Amino acid sequence: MHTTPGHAIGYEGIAVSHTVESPGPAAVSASVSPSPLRTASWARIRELFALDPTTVHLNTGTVGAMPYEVLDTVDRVTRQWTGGLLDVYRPAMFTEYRDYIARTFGVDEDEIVICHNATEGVARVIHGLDLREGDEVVTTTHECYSVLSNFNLLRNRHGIVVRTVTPPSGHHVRAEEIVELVEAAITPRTKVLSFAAITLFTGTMFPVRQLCELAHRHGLTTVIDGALIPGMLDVNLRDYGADFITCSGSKFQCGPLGTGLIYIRNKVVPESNPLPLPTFWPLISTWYPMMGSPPPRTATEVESYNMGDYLQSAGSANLARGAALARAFELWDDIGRDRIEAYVMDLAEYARGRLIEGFGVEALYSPGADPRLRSPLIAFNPFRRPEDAWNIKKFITFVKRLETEHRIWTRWTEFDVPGSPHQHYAARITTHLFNTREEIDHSVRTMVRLAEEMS
Amino acid sequence: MTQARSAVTTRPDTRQQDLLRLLGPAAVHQADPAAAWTPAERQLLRLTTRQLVSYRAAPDPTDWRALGPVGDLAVDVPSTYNAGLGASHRSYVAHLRPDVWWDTPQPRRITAHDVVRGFKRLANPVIRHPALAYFRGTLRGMDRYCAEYADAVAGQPVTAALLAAFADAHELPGVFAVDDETVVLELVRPALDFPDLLALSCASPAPAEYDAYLPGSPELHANLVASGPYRIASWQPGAAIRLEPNPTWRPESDPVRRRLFAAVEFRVSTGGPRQLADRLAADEADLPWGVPVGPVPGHRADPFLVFNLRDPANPAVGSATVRRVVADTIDRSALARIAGAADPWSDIREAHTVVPPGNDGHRPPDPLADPLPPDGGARERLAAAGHPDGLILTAVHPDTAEDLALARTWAADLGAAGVEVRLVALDEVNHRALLAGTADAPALRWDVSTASRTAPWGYGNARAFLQPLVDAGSPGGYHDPEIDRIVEQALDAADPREAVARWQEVQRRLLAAGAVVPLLFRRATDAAPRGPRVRDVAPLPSLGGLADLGEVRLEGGR
Repeated sequence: MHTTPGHAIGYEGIAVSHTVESPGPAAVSASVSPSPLRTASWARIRELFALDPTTVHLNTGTVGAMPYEVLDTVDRVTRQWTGGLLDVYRPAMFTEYRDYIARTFGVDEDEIVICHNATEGVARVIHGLDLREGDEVVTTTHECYSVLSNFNLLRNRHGIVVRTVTPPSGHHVRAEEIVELVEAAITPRTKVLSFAAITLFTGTMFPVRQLCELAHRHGLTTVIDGALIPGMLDVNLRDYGADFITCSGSKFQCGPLGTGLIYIRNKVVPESNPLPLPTFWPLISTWYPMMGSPPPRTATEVESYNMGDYLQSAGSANLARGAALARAFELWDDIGRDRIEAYVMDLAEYARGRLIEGFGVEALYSPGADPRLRSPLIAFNPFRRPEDAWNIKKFITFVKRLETEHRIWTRWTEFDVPGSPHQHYAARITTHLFNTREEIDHSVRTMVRLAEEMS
Repeated sequence: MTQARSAVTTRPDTRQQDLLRLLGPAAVHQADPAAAWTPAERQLLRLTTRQLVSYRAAPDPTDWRALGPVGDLAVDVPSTYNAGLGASHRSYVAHLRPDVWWDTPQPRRITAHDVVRGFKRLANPVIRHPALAYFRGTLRGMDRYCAEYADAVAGQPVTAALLAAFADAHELPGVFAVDDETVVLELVRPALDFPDLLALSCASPAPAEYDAYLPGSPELHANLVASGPYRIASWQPGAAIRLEPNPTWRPESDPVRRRLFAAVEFRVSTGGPRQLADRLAADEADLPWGVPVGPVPGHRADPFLVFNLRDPANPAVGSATVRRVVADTIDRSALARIAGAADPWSDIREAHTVVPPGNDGHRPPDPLADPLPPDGGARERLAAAGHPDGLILTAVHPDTAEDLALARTWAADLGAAGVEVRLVALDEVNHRALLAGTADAPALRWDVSTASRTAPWGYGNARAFLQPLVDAGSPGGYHDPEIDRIVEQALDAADPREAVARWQEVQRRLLAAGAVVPLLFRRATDAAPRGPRVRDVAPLPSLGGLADLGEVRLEGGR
């Protein structure tokens, strides 16, 4: 079922776009009037979210705030399916939702899977790779724990070799440094290149396309932790040229907790990625053949079978969360993903400037001078003494006091810094569409005062 | 004995029974964590000290609960799940319990600064602690700190003040206190066994009072400060030790130890195994001292031979051929029979590898893959090595009846092959000093010595036996640059299987060079005698099967 103007995406009467604020359809076409949200003020858009007005939420990098409509969808669809005798398996394929989300990202339904979170997604990808003893994976020390732990599991299970590089950090880092660092780690035995599109520790926007082109030159499979992409960036996933991108539905996309996406390249579009499709084993699959193998993977732009279905068919699913995630996608499209990205990035630059004013440019771990590496996640050391950078207690206390005394939600992160023997810690803020410059001003002022007090 | 300790009078808990009595051949000479090392010494220290992490006693010593450390002085074992271990696995953050105290005249909380002091004391150049081999290649800056510490005191009389001055003026880069409750430990590279290293008694915190005494000295032993459930009430090295409750110890802050007795008494017995069993049966004591009481997963290497390659009495031991002749000539089966009579409570096997069975990296001899001994008899091989008339070696061994009997036996084997062995028996203190090469070692030129080793941790312990034999502080000073390179690979290996493979390569090279001569392996059994009051006892794998004295249940007790 494809969505049509005026009708929400959904199953068997479970329409999910039933609100006055956002009556628009899932699929927006030129013939349809744009949603009022497309031109709504940011103050009006902020009202869509279930935010505590006494708090400043600067931690979307960990978890976003759900819009009321998304909350309502979770509740309504849960009730609708509770106690019924309906067939739960067909809707659990989420075909329409996947189709909608896929088109949002410029890819196809057979290449999108709705899963439970980015961690599950990346685990299913990593363990589906066709890796053998001695095969090498190049990744970074700044990856999410769930990426590194799953590659370690493969190391223990199959004897693969995991090579990690520590990316540079700081305001003046340039994209070329990262690409050169990664390239230097590639050997003739490297089979996979894996990295985060935006790192959670320092908020570095990795040069994804450049790294994928590097992978193409070396014939590597690319696995990208894109947990922070949905809801932040207005992107065409295929244009990245990656083989796999795993995403969170509950961070910038502000869907319910327990939602995620897997993008799996299922056709060969030479201008984005000319390499053949990698062998892939879709773990946790009801509809993978019970005898024999699927047909050979396609070498053209026409898929040979629906790999997305293989992955999506994993028994019953939480239909409410799938519906709510789709609703969050609709909302974002109503507001305009391009508009959201521009706002979020602009607010981040404002925050970066304020942080530099407050703490000095050397305090920043996040790149800023190279616009290609900027993201709305900004990590910094608020303390004056250099050695405080590896004092975990100070960061825990700093973040805790911001939360309990000032109602400002941030987080602390930990990571390696090239050339330093210490584990470094940072305070990290994240800007999103519901944040304002006033919140940034207030938060930075508060953080400067608190850091001064704690220094 | 005039110990500086809390003045609180101990009032035994009414649930406690009166006295736990140990009797046996253990020769405990050290209760200073920076110097103690034998399993029996560590058994004692388990009662008087705390570590950041420790092992629990478990009903089944092969159970993972007995093999994995848990929080002790630290609230928990630092891990990624409790923000104690960074993703790089090179930075550990330990958060200390707030209510663990020193038994000082004014009881004082143990702080992170005491943990730092403990590591600095471990690095002291006086003792050359055997466990330094593990820390030097693991803890950031430890290697250099040890070297600079040694340089700083070289050529002058070593005093406590001199050591303290160095420690005060020099930071150990990889260990620092963030505040009183938080200590950071940074590694050169990831080490999956690092929590096990933290559980070693030599990694115990040290109170500031210890700076006034030389490590391991009698003066220090007269001023020991307890942090565990007991403190030392009297200390007669080589004879008897008596422990009494430490009034500052709080059971609620110690998840590992229990205090079930009003006193613990250790007495040395030099008789044979039959006499010891008879005395225990006669209720003269409850448990044997220094005798494992239950089976643990791994065997121990006991004994093996090492050669002195630093300053030997006979430079001939510098020849691999000579060493291999020694290795190939000794009849292990005869040794096993002798050991079986002296130690009827262990499962004893002939040893042909460095790493004993039941430990990571053990690799049984493979007749198809292992190189065959060179052609020719021992005399022919010695002649080919330039010793047609045989040679004379000076061999040292601990001064016990069993060690003497074993040494005489293998010396006779060597004598028949043209190697005359002059045996020198040393008491345990001097033997230990000789192998460590410390300043107080006896002025004795030697060529070969017996040694023994028990793995101080039971899981993931591939380096436990091998690293101390190839470290810069190894007993005989054996050095092979190729082994150094392989050791670095082993320590760098992210995959434990790869690390094990590299350590096995180290073992192959050591054996091929005859640098170590394995003689016997022993495994603890549950056959050791017990007194009639003993109802239950828990062996600890980290102590090679010695009892956790905090978990001994006596008749009538709880």
